[in-house]
Amino acid sequence: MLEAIAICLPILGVPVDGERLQEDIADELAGSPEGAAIPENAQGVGDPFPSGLDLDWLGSLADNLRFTMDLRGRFEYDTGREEWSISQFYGFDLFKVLSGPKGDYATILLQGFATRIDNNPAPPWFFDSPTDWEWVYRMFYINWKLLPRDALNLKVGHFEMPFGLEMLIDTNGTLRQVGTAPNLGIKADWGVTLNGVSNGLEYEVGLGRGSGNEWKAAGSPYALVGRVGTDPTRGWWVGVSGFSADLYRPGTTIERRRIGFDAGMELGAWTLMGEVSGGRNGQDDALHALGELNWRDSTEHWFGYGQLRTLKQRMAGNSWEGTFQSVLGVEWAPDTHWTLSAEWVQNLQRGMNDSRDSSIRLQARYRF
Amino acid sequence: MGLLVACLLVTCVLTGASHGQAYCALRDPVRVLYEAYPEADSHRSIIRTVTAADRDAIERDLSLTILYDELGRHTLYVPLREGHPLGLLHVRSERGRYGLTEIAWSLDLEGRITDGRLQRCRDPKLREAFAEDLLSQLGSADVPEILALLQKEGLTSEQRVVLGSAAKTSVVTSIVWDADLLPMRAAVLANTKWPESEAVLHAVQIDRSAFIADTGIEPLSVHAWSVRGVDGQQLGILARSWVNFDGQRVELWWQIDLNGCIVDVSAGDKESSSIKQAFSEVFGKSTATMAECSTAAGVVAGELLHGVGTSIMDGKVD
Repeated sequence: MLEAIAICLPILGVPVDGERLQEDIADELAGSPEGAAIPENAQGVGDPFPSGLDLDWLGSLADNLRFTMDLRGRFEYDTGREEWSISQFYGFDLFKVLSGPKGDYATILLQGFATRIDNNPAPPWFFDSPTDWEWVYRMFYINWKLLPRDALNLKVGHFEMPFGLEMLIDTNGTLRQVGTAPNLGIKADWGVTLNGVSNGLEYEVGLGRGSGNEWKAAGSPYALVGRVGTDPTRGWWVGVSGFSADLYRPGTTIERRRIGFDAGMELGAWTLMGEVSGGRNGQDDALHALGELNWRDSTEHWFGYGQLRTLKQRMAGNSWEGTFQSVLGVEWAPDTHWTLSAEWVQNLQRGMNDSRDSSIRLQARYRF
Repeated sequence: MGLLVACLLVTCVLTGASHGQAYCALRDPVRVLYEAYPEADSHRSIIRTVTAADRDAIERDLSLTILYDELGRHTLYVPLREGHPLGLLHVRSERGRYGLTEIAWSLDLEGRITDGRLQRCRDPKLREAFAEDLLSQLGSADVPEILALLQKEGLTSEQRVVLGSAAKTSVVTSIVWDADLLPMRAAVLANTKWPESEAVLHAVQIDRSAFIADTGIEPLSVHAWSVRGVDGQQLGILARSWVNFDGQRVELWWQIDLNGCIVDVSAGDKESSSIKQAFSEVFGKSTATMAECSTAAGVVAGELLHGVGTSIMDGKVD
């Protein structure tokens, strides 16, 4: 690499060997870009992983490979219970592009976390108790290119539900969520999807086992899900989603049906987005809606968001019951490794089986 | 020029899973890639690392530094048609008023900017700056030419950001992906120099100790390939070297026939009449007959033939 630098830079017209810059230029370079939390000349000092883990020892296996260790600690205080709950995540994030003489033919994404929960008031069903360890799969799949230009790909493995805003926003390991898990009853599942980009539209349609983190066949669960939407990089988007499932739960299955609509628009540093979906939870009508306004600074080190969200269901002849919440959150990424987050969730009305008035959530994440 | 390059380096951030985002957030720039290369039927990704050592080396040698955010793994895309490269696509982020703007730059295999497209942009003024006339001026421009454009009067700050991004992209692409691009460039050149058959290249492992110092050839830069037709028939040797010649540093490509005679010397895909003229006397000469040329070109050519020939005789062909 150093040889390449020595070879290339002179021909590119960049001054070399002894052509020192004027002092004012050096001062400009040593200063911080606007909005930087850490002065440029102080960045990287003491960083043991300035460009991530060294993968060269893997030889050819390191070709087109990204690998990161991902560590998180999450702390949540519930004003209703007046108790803390703590979650810890120790895992990895692996991304590999498989490529041949005719080009890329598949990508592999593997994310797994040893997860510890302590005093969790509403643990996912696959945890044995409010205090427990489990291995949790997030994205864990291979995506094969079946047609040229990414028009059609086949994904096999553990995938996130391509429904609504979930398909567009990275909520993997973040405090910020868009309500997929409570709305659909499942956020990720083992199965297959067809996905791709065609005629300016992005789409993904999947069929899953319906049991989430673990493969469970009792009761013949399944999840059929799909979304079609416009390209969000153009500054706005709309999308339509559908979901039909009989989801595994210990000893039973639960039915979910949804049709959803999502849209968003970027306005300078602000983005306004929303999702609404309706359908059935078994015999009950169900409704989910979320609206978010978010802001980012020019360096995208700071990110703030506010949400209003509701999740309600109605038994025949009864009124709507459920949650209506406001959410305020902030994320700060001072460098390429750390992300510090905080979120305040306020129940605007008390829902069934929900004793929380508000909760404050804090998270520290370190990737290297 | 140093001032302009220095200013460019302050404003740019490489794309990738930035600021600790999970890799599920990574997306191939499919839309802009196939808009830029409509004839492409697939693409290849090449992920490489920009290291702290690279940053330190650039800073030590040039008194410049790349931003700390730019370290890590980044992807270069090679659009393909039937397996043949059409060019390069490199998406870079620029800090703007409203967050990061992602610009997808098209480059040729020599690292020259050929076109640009906005992949994601929140800033309407930056969108305006991405006008046809500015992009047309960038067509096939190398870094010195882009830096010359930056010195024009009347540019808006947004236009400077666009031009700066173009120059930075060309520099980083040429540095970080040089070893990956070299075989592709060699393959393209081989097909122009041996048009009778689609060329298949096999790398020759160069014994750099065979090169004598002070002949003008930079031994570390020498690469050679045995060129064969699709039927396996050997067509010749293609070699690349950087040479300090006649007061300038030039990249030379050498076409050598099966008899070990130099057929052609060129400065890549650039037409250089001065190079052709300077080396015309070595055409048709082999190691045995190069002693007849006592000029600087003859010395360089003789050294190249000796070094490459030694490696081939030792059987160091992949």
